[in-house]
Amino acid sequence: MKPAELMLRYLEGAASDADAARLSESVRTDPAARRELAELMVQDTLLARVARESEFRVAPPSRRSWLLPAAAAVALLTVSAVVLLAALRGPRSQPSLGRPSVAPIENPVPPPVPMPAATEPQLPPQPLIAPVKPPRIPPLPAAPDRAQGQARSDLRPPLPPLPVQPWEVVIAKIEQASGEVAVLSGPLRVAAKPGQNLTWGLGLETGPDPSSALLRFSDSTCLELGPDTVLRESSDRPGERGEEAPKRVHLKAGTLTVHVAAQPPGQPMAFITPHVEAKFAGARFKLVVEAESTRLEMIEGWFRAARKGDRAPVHVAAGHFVVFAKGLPLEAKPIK
Amino acid sequence: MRSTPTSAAPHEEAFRQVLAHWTMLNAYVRSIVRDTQVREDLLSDIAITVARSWHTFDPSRPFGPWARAIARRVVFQSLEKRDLKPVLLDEDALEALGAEIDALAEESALELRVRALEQCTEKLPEGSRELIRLRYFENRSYKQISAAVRWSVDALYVAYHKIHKALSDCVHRRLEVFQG
Repeated sequence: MKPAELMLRYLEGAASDADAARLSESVRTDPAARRELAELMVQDTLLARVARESEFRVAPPSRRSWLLPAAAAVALLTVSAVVLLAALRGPRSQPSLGRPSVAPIENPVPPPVPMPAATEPQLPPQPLIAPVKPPRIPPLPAAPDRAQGQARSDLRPPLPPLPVQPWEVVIAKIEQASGEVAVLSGPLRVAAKPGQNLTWGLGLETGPDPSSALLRFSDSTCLELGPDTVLRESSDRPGERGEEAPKRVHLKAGTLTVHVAAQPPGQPMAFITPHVEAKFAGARFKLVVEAESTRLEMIEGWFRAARKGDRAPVHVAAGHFVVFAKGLPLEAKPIK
Repeated sequence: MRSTPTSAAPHEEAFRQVLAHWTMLNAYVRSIVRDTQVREDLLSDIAITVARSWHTFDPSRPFGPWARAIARRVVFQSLEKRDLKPVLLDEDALEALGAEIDALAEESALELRVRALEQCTEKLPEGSRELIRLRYFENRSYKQISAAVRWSVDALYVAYHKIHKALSDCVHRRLEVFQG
């Protein structure tokens, strides 16, 4: 077994004394193995962080978190403020791995892809990401003709634009924010203001009634957050391959009234709640997320889900609602 | 030389340092403690102990080894209280690994690494993504994953090692792009 495989066994708590002794020997005497194991440890730690952030979970409270003294809070807030300022320009991406367990909906959510039969996952033979050559800066032109009275700097050709970083990508604009409304970046939050941009991967939270917020995307898609609502924008990085990424938001709790503008073909906008993942190419509807269920009310357009058990399609037409909850039959009913 | 921090709030500087070495401390504690909840509690304890011991820190020396010594003390005291005796690397190996992690885990650089890791994870083949999801997003043990995917646990160690390697290579390439 290679040191890294042994390390995985060790981290699992399944290593024997002999395994640990062998691993210790590798770490102490082999710099390459030590480096590889350190890389593995860091990556393991960061993957756990990525999962925690993108799952958009509220972590269970630490049993002794109250121990952190007020001084710590002040210090952390100071540092956090710096991080948040950067984060407001630099949101986190949300890999689609972190989808919650969803109700068994045939449409529009595709069924999970079965595991390959091979004994090992098939890793790509080619590099995952081709390295990108830095843009070439054209040479400066010949010395300017001073007689023309032009400053030298005016003649310098413009530099090519810097590549857009993920945290610079504006996803939507907060058009209205009343009551308590906060922008979320990881565990941090800061008061939201009307007119403020929401960049890629940030979240938005409203406080108790009558707090509310209105979020408008560039294609006119509108999300109206009711009180006590928590959502996080989690689209893929836009423009990474030159195409616009499908929009995706996680709604953790609360009420969201949505008007999805017509989306590009094959790129429906996804709304993920703890109980369902629903995709819309264009519709008006309301989502109400509670602890045990998600209620979808169609205002305009329609939605099709698959019933648990016989997987018969259930159409939710305008003026109807459906509740997604464990153990509850999927049934469209008229809104009274 | 004993530390006499000049700032008005020594706790603030202590926590600043803890935050600046958070991933290193997390990874270091991860190499000793397997239970996630216990680990998070211990990280809180370590942060507090660092702040309380800040007056003993010699700023002319690096923070990492000093913080790891505190972390080690806090963690082993906790294991003793819980009467836990996990199989561990020997002390020299743990420290050597901690120092190596410290050299890798500069927090500001790690932010970029996290972003790269997110992107690289999405580009994994479906089977590998599923394994990552089971392990990190659903927090399942290898034994549980073994039952779910019907592979042996040893085959999983091989598979995860390959996935980590692929991710690591991808992250390094991506970082080269990020950093020009």
